[in-house]
Amino acid sequence: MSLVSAAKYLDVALSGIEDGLIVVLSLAALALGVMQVTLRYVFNTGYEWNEAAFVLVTITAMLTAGVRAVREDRHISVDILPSIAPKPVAAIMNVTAVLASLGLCVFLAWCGWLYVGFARMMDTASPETGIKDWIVYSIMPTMMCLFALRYIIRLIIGVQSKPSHKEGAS
Amino acid sequence: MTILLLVFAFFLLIAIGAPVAVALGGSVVVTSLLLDPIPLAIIGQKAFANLDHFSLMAVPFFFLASALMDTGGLVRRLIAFANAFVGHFTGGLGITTVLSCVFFAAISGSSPATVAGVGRIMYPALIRDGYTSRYALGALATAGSIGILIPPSIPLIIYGFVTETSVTRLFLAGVIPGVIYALGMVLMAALLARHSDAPRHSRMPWPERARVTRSALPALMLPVMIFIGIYGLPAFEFGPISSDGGAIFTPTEAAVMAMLLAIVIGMFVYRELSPRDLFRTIADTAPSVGMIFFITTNALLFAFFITKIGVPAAVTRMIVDLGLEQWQFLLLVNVLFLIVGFFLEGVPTILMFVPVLFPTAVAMGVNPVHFGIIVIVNIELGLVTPPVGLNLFVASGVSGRPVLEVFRGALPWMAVTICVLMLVTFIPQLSLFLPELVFGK
Amino acid sequence: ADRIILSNDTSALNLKGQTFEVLAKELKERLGDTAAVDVFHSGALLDQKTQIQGLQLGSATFVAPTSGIYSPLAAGLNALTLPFLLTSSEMVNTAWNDPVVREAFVPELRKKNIEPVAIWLSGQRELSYRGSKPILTPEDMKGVKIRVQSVPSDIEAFKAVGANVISMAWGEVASALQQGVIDAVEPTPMSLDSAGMVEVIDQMTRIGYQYAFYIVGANKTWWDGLSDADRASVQEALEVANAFNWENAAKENEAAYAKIRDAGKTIHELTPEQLAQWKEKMQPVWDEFGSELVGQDAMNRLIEISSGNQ
Ligand code: NA
Ligand code: NA
Repeated sequence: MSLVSAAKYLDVALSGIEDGLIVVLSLAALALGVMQVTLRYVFNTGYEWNEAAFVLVTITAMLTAGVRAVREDRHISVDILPSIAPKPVAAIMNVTAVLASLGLCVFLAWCGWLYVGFARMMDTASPETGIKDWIVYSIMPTMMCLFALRYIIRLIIGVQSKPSHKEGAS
Repeated sequence: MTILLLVFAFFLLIAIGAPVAVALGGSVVVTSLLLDPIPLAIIGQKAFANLDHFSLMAVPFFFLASALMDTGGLVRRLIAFANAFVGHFTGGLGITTVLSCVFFAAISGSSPATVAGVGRIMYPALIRDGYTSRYALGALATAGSIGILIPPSIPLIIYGFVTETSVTRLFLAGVIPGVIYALGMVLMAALLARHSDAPRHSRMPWPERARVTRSALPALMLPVMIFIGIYGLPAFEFGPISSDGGAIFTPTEAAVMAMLLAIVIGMFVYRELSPRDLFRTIADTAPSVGMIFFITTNALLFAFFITKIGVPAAVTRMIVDLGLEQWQFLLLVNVLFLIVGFFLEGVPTILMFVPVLFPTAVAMGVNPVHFGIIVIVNIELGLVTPPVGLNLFVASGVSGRPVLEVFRGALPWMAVTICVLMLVTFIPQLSLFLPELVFGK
Repeated sequence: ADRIILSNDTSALNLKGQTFEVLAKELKERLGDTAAVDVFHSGALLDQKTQIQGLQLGSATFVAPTSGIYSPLAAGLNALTLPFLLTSSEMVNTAWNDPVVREAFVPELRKKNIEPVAIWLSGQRELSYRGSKPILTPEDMKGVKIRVQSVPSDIEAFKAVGANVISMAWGEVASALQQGVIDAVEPTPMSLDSAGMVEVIDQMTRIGYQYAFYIVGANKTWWDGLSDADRASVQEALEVANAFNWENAAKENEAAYAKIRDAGKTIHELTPEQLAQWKEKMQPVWDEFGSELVGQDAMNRLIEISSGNQ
């Protein structure tokens, strides 16, 4: 199997996992949010861990969605210069942009890993959930590794010309 | 020196087409490694802690709710409802477009989502009815931007998050400017229609109107329920039934409930949302939010770094030294946002510039809620200015017309946006009246 | 001494913000050109959640969070804010300087790169709420939705009187109370006022179940690296700031009570019998968080201080 076909295989497998994670975690967060409102308003009760769990699940879902956004090139950029530059120049710019993105993700994963190490040393836990802080903090470096993996796949498969902008924020 | 390297690295990354998030985070990393070191574990801490806030969690749910309303057939019925009552006026279908945007905006927190949701149905309808594509594109791109002024609003949530201003107050503050904006758009729709040869329709008979209304009722109830949920009912006692009128949920929980209601109505009332549709809609919409989350964490890293090296303090000192009056300062802010708006979208604009400008604004006696609304209307303008205008891109996407044509179409309508911007900037009461009426000063 | 960064998680305008400013001014005067002193207010640099780690990792030199924020690092601190244990600034001060009590948390903090250098005052925690029904006895508290800090002993104290305890970020509390998402809060009068909640509440009941205070922490690596002369100067600066803080805390709280009264809100004073009922219901929390966390000796000392037999 060549490097490119291996990357393509990984791309497909990763896409399936991402889809599943995004949907399952989003619906789990929805359930936790609804549970919080219902328990408080209807039953006048609730759990302290509910809100923290809701936030964690939502963050994990949306960072996974951020990984997916790398594949579909939905991370907003201002691509005026690459679009008017001569083709070879534009190609260099695109590859450099992907390399910069990859570099940032690897660096953030590294920093996040150091932070996880720090939290393990402190051995603190969340008062609401009782979960050790370092486990929660691991979300970020893990997701940054996946971001990096996505950028590596893009480098191998080829940094295609960018598709048009899709729906975004504001 | 530090600031020069930061700005240079940022613009270099932007220029080669790196994602805005990468330009924000990357410039901080390069600058801090070379000139002004931050402990690496602190960067790791910030990257996670920047997202770990309850209020930010409203963003994905409002986003998903909007998309599910579209898939679940709610948007189509809202449009039919608007058309049943205003379709017979001159420019009737144009007015329908504006009103549909208002209804959809009352649930959607996002302008591009509004353009996409309404545009997918209204653009073909307008063309079929004989409107020029320029008219249709202009109406959609500009009226769609009402999505962030009428609550709920994702940029307002982010603004409240950055400035620690009450999101509930900000939401209320957007209502009157939103209604003025809508009225302006309705007038413009009628005015521009006189110059095109759009046909006039006959008035829809009342039984037909009743049927359309009944069908739209569940969809119309959704914003009503969200509004009651956030603000509560007036306290009442009616025989054995009484209510102390308290609100039911926070703005973040409102987003969750909006998504739940959109699913329930689409699946069980209209029966247009299958489990498969639900899966696909979430999977396809979430990456746009993932993009926002990645920008947010990097933008707050950027904000942390410029705070650390003392930029906001220096800018504030500079502006104070200029000796500007409050109105001059606000005008300056508008000009700055106009320029920024050419290149950047709403959320990154807020995340990058509000932390710098907000302390100055407060020091100059500007009310935080009022300032928030000024920022939001500026962002609405930025959504329709090239080269980077999300509404232009989305309208171009749903219509298949080039972006430049959308912009030409939007030009006359932008007069309304600019008028509203001036009104909102110089008449604080437009923003402050409602929140102060409900919550006191 | 290089660069000294003071990170304040609250507004520049309240007493803590002013105390930070005093500290900054005194540090500048004493250290002169050898150090650059910067103050960041409103959590602009590090917010309430991230400040302790920021301090430990060296992104801030001084922080002053409320005592409960430190408790995941030094569980013994929980004992200082047990319900109806230390209920006045004098008791808190005595406990803070007591060698037996200090043994329960100072070594733990030092091990984690934090040097606890001072306490600044906040005030008595009172019950503030919406609605027309006064809350006078623990029975009145049944089912009331109250927001407390995410400090385990605070949560348990209110569960013990049958309240529905909700933890919520402080920034959201004012609007949640306004909207009726929650019914009650329990900050000090000063904090109630600076969060703009005086207008929002209808009544206050003076249960004063604990005396809230801030612990000023310094980055220990930095602190230990100071020359003896510099450390003495820093300590002098801290003493001036502390004196300013202690002088004004009582005044600011009195002003806040007056403001609440002037706004037409009722302030209920409890009878000794009513107070005794609250204390009786909440005191079992001592067993769970007291001796087990600080040891029997320290707990006995705290009880002595509490009952005035110092
Ligand atoms: Na909206
Ligand atoms: Na623009």
